[in-house]
Parts: sequence; structure tokens; C-alpha cells
Amino acid sequence: MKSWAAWGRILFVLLAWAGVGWSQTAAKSAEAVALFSRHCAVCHGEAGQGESAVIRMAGPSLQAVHNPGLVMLAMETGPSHMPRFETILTVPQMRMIARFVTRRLAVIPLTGESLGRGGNLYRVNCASCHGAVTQGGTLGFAGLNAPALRRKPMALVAGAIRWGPGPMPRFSAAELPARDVASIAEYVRYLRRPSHPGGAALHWNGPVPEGAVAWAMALSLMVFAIWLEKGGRG
Amino acid sequence: MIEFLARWFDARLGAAKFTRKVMNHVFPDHWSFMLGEIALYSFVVLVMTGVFLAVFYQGSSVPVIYHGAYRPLRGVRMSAAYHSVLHLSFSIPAGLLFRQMHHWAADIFIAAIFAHLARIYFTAAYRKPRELNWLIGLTMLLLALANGFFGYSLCDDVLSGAGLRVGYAILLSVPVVGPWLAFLVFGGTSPNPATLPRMFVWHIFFIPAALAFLILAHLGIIWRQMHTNYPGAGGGEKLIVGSRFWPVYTMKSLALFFGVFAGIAALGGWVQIDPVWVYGPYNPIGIVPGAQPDWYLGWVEGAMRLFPGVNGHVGRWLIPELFFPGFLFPALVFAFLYCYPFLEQWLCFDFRGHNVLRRPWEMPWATALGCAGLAFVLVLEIAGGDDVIAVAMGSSVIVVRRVLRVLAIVAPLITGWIIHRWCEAMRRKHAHLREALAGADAGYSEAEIAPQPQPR
Amino acid sequence: MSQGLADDDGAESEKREKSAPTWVLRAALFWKLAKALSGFWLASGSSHAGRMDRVRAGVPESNPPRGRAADQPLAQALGEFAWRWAGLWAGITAAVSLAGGVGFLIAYWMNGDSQTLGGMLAVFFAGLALTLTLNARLLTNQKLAVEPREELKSPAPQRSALAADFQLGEGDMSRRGLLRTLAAAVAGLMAAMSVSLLRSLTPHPYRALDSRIWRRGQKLMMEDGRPVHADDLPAGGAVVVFPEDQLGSEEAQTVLIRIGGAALGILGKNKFSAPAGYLAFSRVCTHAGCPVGLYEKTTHLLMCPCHQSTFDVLRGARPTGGPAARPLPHLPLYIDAQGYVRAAGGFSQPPGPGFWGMPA
Repeated sequence: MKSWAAWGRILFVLLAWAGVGWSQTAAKSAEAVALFSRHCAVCHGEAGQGESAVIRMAGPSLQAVHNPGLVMLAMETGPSHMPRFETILTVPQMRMIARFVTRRLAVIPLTGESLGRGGNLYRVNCASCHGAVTQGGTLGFAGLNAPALRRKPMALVAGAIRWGPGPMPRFSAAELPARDVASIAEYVRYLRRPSHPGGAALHWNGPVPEGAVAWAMALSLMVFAIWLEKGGRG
Repeated sequence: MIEFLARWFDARLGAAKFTRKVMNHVFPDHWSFMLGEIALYSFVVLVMTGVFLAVFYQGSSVPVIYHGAYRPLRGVRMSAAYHSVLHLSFSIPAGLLFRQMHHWAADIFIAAIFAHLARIYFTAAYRKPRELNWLIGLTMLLLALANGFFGYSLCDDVLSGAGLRVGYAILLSVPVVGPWLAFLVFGGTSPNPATLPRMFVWHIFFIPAALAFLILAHLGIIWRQMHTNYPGAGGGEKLIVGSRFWPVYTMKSLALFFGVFAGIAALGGWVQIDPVWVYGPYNPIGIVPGAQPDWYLGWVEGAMRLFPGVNGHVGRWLIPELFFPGFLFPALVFAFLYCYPFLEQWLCFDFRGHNVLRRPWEMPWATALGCAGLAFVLVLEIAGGDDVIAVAMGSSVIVVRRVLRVLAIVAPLITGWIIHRWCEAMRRKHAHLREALAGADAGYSEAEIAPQPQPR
Repeated sequence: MSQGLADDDGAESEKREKSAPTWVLRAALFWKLAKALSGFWLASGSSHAGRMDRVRAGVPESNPPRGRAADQPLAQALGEFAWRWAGLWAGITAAVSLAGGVGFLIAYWMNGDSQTLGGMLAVFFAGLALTLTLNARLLTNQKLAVEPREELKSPAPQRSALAADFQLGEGDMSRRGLLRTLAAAVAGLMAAMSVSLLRSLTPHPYRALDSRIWRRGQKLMMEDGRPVHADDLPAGGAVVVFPEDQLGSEEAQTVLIRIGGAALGILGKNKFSAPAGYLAFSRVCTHAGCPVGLYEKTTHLLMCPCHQSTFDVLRGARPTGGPAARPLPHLPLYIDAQGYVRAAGGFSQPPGPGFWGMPA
């Protein structure tokens, strides 16, 4: 993912440079729509809302993808289950799709209202499956757990809220407006590196590791008592 | 200076004779006698840090908006209780340290009580004349469990909410009196605004006071009855062998006191415990996976998870499934422990007093029973965290639970059988030692023993 | 162990060392050095444990209780060498401790974080603990102390004297049994009074517990007070709703789910109805009262994150796994002319965990 982001950034700069003087015409826009629906909509849906199989995702939502470089990169390299398009599409075509996705389909912003609001929404809507700190949690369906979100790209996280991959429920715009989705995404991003007062966090797994640490310390104190008494006459 | 003080007090209290007697009281030298002291000193830490926290804590559910130092919760609506916890954690110097030390001390307090209890059980130190202290100790364990639960609930974060709901549901499930009992303790359907003030009063006043009183009684009785000795330590039934209270025992005990303090301070400083700011304020609709109680109630939690969902009925009256693992099971465990010394007296027809401990293998069935019980509790403890374990292993909680259900039945049986075999083997091996030990306990020569100071 | 360097001087061990490779020799040398440095630390004097070992091993002790040769004063056993190190170690630990204390003060007044404060506190107390341990070691060259145990049971004459003393309280009143009756009455009344006072602490439970929460015609409201319209949820969506007069209430929380596609057919086969695919259940777990916060749209399971009870939405939220025994109470729904989702009555059961007297 890291190399994605780095390459994406480089590509973004290149694209911005290449895009100077690019004039968008109605004809080109129509071509972009046609390209998208021919090559992408099978998996990502006509509106880029994402499609879902029973357990796995078929194609993630594109509604929060704001980085054209990321789209280009995905088409060129074909991450995960996605096919590679570098031999199928020309570079200008890919550019067209990237512009179409980021300008027309990406309706979910990635900057929210505030961390407080995002945190509240996260705790009410997401935490019961993904855990208080996005560490993941159990599901009722055998063999499946709600995934940890720490390494998921923000665009995927925000998109997944609407789209509901696999067993995850969908959250409509009536329930969570785009701004709220963005707030949640922002809080999830914050939880990658939360402020860290009070020492080692034990992976935020709560009282289970805490109990283990408490027993480790209690046993160490007992060992100290043994050593203390060893100096005596037993 | 010391002489002056001694003279001053002696002239007013006549304390010299008594103090001398105290200083020459003999304590046995064995580490296993120190387990209770670890608990005692953890309690001291609990009281000291608890007083500090009580100054800042507000036991109130009144909603407020947070504007404090912790950025991600700014503008969030929360109870005054949770607000005060955040405030003392982030805005009071050393507040977070003392809060974490308090919680770690509670975990270690009960761990030490637990180890102490196991030592008493496996060496049969509960026998006559020490049954009273066994009963007092068990009562203190119960009070400590209750106070741990209340303390966990006072922070009013999402985990507190989960704990309160489950605690309430357990009391509610008791046949006949359940609803009244639950409303008496929680002041209504839980959690509700009446709950926190109640818990606060219990947590900082009644239970600590009761604990302090019982600790005094416990120590007073130990002082009166004197410690036991291990067989072969040389004391026999008539003597106690060890070090005097002053100076050796005092030094060792103080060293342990500071050791306990150091351990708890290190944990309080370096390892997060109950990071309430991560869980967020209590919210009626908020819940997180991995909402466990602290370890000392983990075995009850595990029993609740493993027990199958089966309702009981008395006629048309319902006994909820939660009652059996959540209330009946721990009640039976404690009832058994309370009765155990008397049970054993009747079973073994042994009504004599005992000052010499019993080596664990000398009563194989008792040791096997104790170890089987420990194995059972350990499986339940693991079951209490089965969802966290399942996620950490990348497995499903359903699979983990299935394995643990089998283990809960098999593990105690196997453990009990192995320990019984081991005890029998040890007993055979050590048969010839009985006399040697008895000889060792017969007495020391004048030359080896420092004479008990005589009144001058 | 207590003899430090002298321990390893046996001829056998020398032989062994000569044939050993260099790194073993080096390790042995290092070990000896470490032992010398920490001779005092490792010194264990003699212990009953050690004596027990000897007894256990069947080593004949000519006079078991007297064979306490190793109880010689520690100073003699360790030699001057170890003593000097002991003093040094005690000095070092005490100095470390004091440094920790000073460090705590500095960190505190400079608003240090809790890691620094805790660390300094730990150093302070750990140093003290070690210093005192050393002090206790230095003192263990005292002889073993023995104290006789007192007989706890009082002799018979004293017991009867106590009984006689007690009889002194027996006056005219008590002889007529008045005192005893009075005491019993007072005790009984006081108990009754204290128990009665518990009523102040206890609101009547059954009034609160028996409630079905919803009334027919109430709109389903989201937490922020917006009513749910039939178009609001996509199939596979779920939202927490409340009756309009109990927004954000613990007991009234209800989960509204919209299902679609094949699931609707299964639902019909199971003889449940869902207007426009909407189904609502109490969100309070029937097991231990946690919010049933987790919905899986592919398996149509509701799950409680506390104890992992699962409820099958397509079969009236019957428990299918985990420790719960009763289904989540169902809330009948209808959709009004404007398209808002409304309750068609109360819950099928009082919501929440079970209790004695819960209507079946």
C-alpha cells in the first residue's frame, strides 16, 4: 500500500503536469462514460458504487477515490483481484477514465467535520464489528472476522460504508450523509496513529492482555519474595 | 532521639513491654507466607491512589460537553463522570499515572489474593484453629471482586456500560427476588442516572472500610494464632521457628512493600490499562467487541459464554439461561470454598488443631480436586476472552468456543487424574521421610537458638 | 553458592575445564567473575529448603536438628570480600533510589508525562526495596528465633468463671424472661426497619420491566430525531431507531433492517411479513442486555458483540448460536400513506434479559 501511495503521488504530479491545457469536451466525456461502463462497471457498478459478492468484494466503491494517480496506477498494475488494463487501454483512455472517476463518481469527500463527530459516529455505527480502535472483531458467521482497518486505504474505507462489502450492512445517504462518512473516514485515519498517553497499548485488546500483564507482574513479585526469603534461613 | 521518644511514649502509655513483645514475635521464613503480604501492600497502594482519584471523580450521569486537552473527544457529549475521568487523566499532573496505578494495583491485589488462597488450600492451612481466617479471607476476596466491578463501572465509558448491563442482567436473572435485587443495587433498569452515585459510595466507602476492618481482623487473628510452619522447619506443633518481627522480618516485609510499590508504579507508568479515551463515553447504543471484564471476573464471563442457551422453568415462571452460569455457578464455588474446612473435618474425622502444614501430596484427593478446579477456572478464563483470542489467531470464535467446551470438561478430569497419580507417587517416595521430618520438628538445642528475651 | 569463588575449586571441575573448548572456559571465567561481583547478591545463606533437600535425599544427618553447620554467621561464610561488595551494592541501590526520587520531583514540576513519572517512582521504590533486602541479608547472621505457641483454649476453670461473671447481669427483669423478650423484640424491629428502608433505594421493578415500549402508530426515529422513510434504507441496510418519546433510550433501542431479494422469499416461507422488506427487533440482547450491535447482511444474522449470541433475522430473530435462549422481541411495522415507517404495536415481549415473572 505504501508503494501505491508513493507511486500515486509521483504519478499525480506527472498527471497534473501532463494535464495542463487538457480541454474537456462533451464528446470526450461521453467517451469516458462509455469506457467506464465497458471496462469497469462490471465490478465497480455503473455509478462506481461498488459491487459485492457473498463473502469477498467483487469491486470496491470508487465514490471516495479523489486521486487520479491512484486510478491510473490500479489500471496499470491490477492490484489484488483486478485485471491489468495496460495492454487493453491506451494511456489517454486510462487518463480519461481516471478523470471521470475522480471528477464525476467521487461524491464522498475525505475531509470531515471534526474528530469528535467522526469518533461518535464510528463508535455507534462501526465499533461493534471493527472494534474500538479498528482492530477488527468477531462475526457470527463461521470462519469470518470483521477486518482490521489500519492498513486499508481511506478511499476504500469511505467507499465501503455505502457499499457494504460482504456481510457488512450498507449505510444509505439518508442515514449517514456524505459529510458524516467523511468524518468517520477521518477518525479511522486518526486511529492509525492515535495519541498515545499512558504507555504501551497492548494492541488495545482490553482486559484480556491487561490480565496477563497483571499476572506477570504478580508472579514477578512472588519471585522477588522467593529471592527475598532465600537470603533468610528458609 | 529514639530514646527520647521511647521514654515519652512509655511514660504515657506504658508501651515498652508491649512493644518489646511485638518486636520479638516470630514469623516463619518461607516465601509462600509472603503472598498475602503482596495483596496487603497492593491494598495500601489502592487506598493511597484511590484517595487521590476520589478528589477529582464525580459520580454523576449529568451530560456535559468536553472541551479539554484530549483532541479527538472535543465537542463530544458525555457524562460528568466520564468527563471527570478524562480531566483527571489529562489535565491533572500525575493523574493518569495514579489512575493507571490504581487499576493495576486492583488487578495485582486480586491476583495475590488468589495465589494466597491457593497456597492456603494446597498446604491445608485452613485447618483448626484457622478456619476463621479462611472465612474472613474468602469474604475479603468477594468484597474485592465486587469493588473491582464497581471501579470498572465508575469510568462510565463503553466498557463500563457493557459491564453494568451484564451485572444487572445477572442479578435480574435470580429466581423470585431477581428484579428487586437488581433494582436495589442499580437503582432501576441499568444503566440509569441512579447507578453511578450508588456504586461510587460502595466503591470508595463501604467496601474499602469493610476490607480494612477485615484486614485488621485477619492480621490480628494471625498474630494471636501465629503462623503455621512447614513440616521439617523445626517448630512442630508447639513452637514456631523463623525470624523475629524486628529487625529481619520488618526489613524483608518493607522490602516487599517497596517492591510491590515499584512494580505497580512501573506498570502504571509504562503500560496502558483501561484507556477509556479510546473506548469513548458510555452511549446507550454503543458497544465494542472484546468487551471483557477484568481478569478476576473472566471465569464467570467464560462460564456465561460456554453455557448453552437453555431456559429453565418452574411451572410458568422463567429462570433465564444467564442465571446458571452467571449467578448459580460462582455462588456454588464460593459456598463450597466457605464450607470446605468444615467439610474436610467431617470427611477426615479430624477435629484436632494443626500448626504444622500438610504437604500437598499427603492428601491426594484434596490436591487433585484443587488442581482440577484450577484447570476448570483456567479454561473458563480463556473462554472469557475467546473472541479476542479468535481474532488474534485469525480463527472464528465459534471454532474456539467448540474446542473450549470440550476442554472445560476434559481438562479438569485429566488434570485431576495426573495430579492424583503424582501425589500417590510422592507419598510413596516420601514415606520414609515422615519420621525424619518429625525428628526435625522435635526441637533445637539451646546452642542454636537465640533465647527468647526474658523480662528484665 | 554462598562460597563464591571457593565453590568451584574442586579438582573435578578443573579437569572438566581443561578439556573444555575455549568459549566454555571463557563463559566459566565470566560466570566466576559475575559471581564474585554479585557474591553477596546470590548468597543464600542456608535455608530450610536446603535442609529439606538433604532430608529428602535421605542423607543421614547424625543429629538432624543440630546439623545446621551452614547457619554460621554469614560474615564468616562469605568472607570479608563479599561483605565489602555488600556495602557497595547497598550504597549503589540507595543512591539509585534517591536519584529516582529526585528525578520524580524534577519530572513532576516540569509536567513530565506519566511514563517518566511512573518510571522515576518505580526506580525510587525498587531501589529502596533492594537496599532493604540487602539490609535483611546483612542481618540474617542472627541466630534462628523460636517462640513457643500459646495454648489457645482457655482452661476449664476460667471458662466457668466467665460464665459466672456473665451471670452477674441477671437481675429481676431477666429472671422473668423480660430482658430476653425485649432484646428479641428490639432486634426484630430494628431489622424490620432497616429492611424497610431498602424501599427508598428500590423503585418498583415490574412496572419498568413489563413495558412493551412501542405504541401503535409511532414513527421510527433515528437517534438524531429524523423519522425513517421507506426509501431511506437500501436492501442490506440497518439502522438504530427509537420511539419519538424515548430517543436515545437504553431499553427502547430497536434495530430496523431492510432485506431484499431471495431473503424476502425465505421470510415468507417462514410465515413472517416485512412491509417493503423492513423488519424491526429489540436491540437489547435477551441474554445479558448488551446492544445487539452487529448485523451481517449476507447471512441475515444479528449478533451481540458481548457474548456472541446470534439471532436469525429471517426466522423471527430466533437464537441460532451462542448463549442466548430467547428470541429478540419483534416489533410489527406498517408503512403509512406518506411512506414513513411506523410501529403497528408494541414489542412481542418485554425487551431485555430475562427475569422471574417475565411473560412467556
